[in-house]
Amino acid sequence: MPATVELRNVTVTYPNGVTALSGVDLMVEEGEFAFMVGPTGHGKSTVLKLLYCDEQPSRGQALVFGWDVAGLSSARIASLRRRIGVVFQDFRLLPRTAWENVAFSLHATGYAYRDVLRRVPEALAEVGLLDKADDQPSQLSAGEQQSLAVARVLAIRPALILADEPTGNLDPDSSAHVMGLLAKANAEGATVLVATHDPAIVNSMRRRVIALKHGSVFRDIPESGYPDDLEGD
Amino acid sequence: MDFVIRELALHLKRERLIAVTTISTIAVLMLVLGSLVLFMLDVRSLTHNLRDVLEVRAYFQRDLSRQRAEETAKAVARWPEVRTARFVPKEEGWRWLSRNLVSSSKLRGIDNPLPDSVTVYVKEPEMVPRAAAKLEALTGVKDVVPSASDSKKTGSFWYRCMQAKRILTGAGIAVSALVALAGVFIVHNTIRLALHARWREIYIMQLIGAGRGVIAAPFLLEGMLHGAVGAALAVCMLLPVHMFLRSRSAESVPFIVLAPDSILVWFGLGLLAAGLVLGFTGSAFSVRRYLRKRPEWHT
Repeated sequence: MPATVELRNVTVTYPNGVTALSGVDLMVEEGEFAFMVGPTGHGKSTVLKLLYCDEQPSRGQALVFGWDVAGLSSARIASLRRRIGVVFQDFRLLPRTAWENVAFSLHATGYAYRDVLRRVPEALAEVGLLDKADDQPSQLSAGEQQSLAVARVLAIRPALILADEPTGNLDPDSSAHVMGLLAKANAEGATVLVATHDPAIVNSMRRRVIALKHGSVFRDIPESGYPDDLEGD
Repeated sequence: MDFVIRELALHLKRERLIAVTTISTIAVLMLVLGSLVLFMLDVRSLTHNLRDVLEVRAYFQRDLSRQRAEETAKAVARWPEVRTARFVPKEEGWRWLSRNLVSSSKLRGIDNPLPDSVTVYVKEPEMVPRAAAKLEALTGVKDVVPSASDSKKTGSFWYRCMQAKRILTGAGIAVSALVALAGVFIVHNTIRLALHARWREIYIMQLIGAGRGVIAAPFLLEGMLHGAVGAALAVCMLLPVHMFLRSRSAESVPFIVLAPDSILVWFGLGLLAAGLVLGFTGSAFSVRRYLRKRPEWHT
């Protein structure tokens, strides 16, 4: 399988001198589902930011679909991002209806109007929100808001889905629903990388686990639960 | 394109107050700009009109052959300061005189005393004295009206008028440029506010890989719309006022001819185009600066 994501000895040091990642080597193959776990502030979000080109490595190489993210032009970054869907802990929805939130992504990435009309209900139905298409995010529960954020990602059918603490604000039932949606997207061919520090969802799904600690890969175990020795120094 | 239009409509709907404020400010600026331009056009029209009125007539010696007189008139027409030079045979001069100046019954039975002449129109009013002096120096010319010395007196007046026109035009252009610059800053600030107000949309667009053109287009169109509507309002106020003043001046001071309709049409279109350019430039500055920043979710 070709690598969708590859980090080669990547170090990220922020301008304030804090080193977020230190010599990270990592590979996620096409079609793989992997958890990236670790305590807060140990580099999970930085890895995801590197992958959606919101951060640059200070040293080493970060490759996404074979493209080195360092020094990409803005047009190339846009082109790369069109193949990536990102889900955030705080949903990052627009103050528009559920329908418009999904349609916005499709319109903005250049889909024709008739494709938008077809894809929006499909994506909303997929996450179980078709009957709430006219609701504003403020009228939806936290679980529904995250489902809507996932629908927005699924609508553009990305080859790579990055999720940064997608269940951080959700109750267990909603968490299971959202993870089910990501697992389904993975089953349909998308590569999925989920950053989380929630042992429950990792233990329930038993997929590959990449554990980060102090900005380095601490464990990389296929089909595992949440590592017991990860918390604490 | 559909997306861009929808986003533009949404922007305008959400930020009506900002739009109204910007459009009215641009309308006032365009009113100032338009007034200056109209004033310059009127001055130009006035001087053009004077140019058509001011003529120098050179009368040839009566014994000069018709052929020589015609050749001289043709040579005069090629002078750099001359716009047109028309040879007037003495028969035509006599006809004109009998028709316009003297009762034809009084002229009946009198032999035509007029010589052949050439009527010269110069390119600029201040060129009259020079043309008169050159005509006086020609062999075969008996008399020049107005003479070089007479036209020098009136010429210095025209020279001062032309100098005043040049100063006014220069000042007008400078003030117009300042006003246009102020317009660019106003649109720039409005669009910057609009960009701040819609950072979520912009962030998500950047995140999902929307091209810069797609992100920028609604804001650029919004700026252009503000500029064009502001300019259109100014045109709607300026043109009727100018047309009224023109009709009044035509009644009371007939020799003052203000800019005609043909020029006013171009003036209106020009001001609209200036509004569009100004709106586009202002919003392009803002969008360019804003999109250079890294996407960031402000919590």
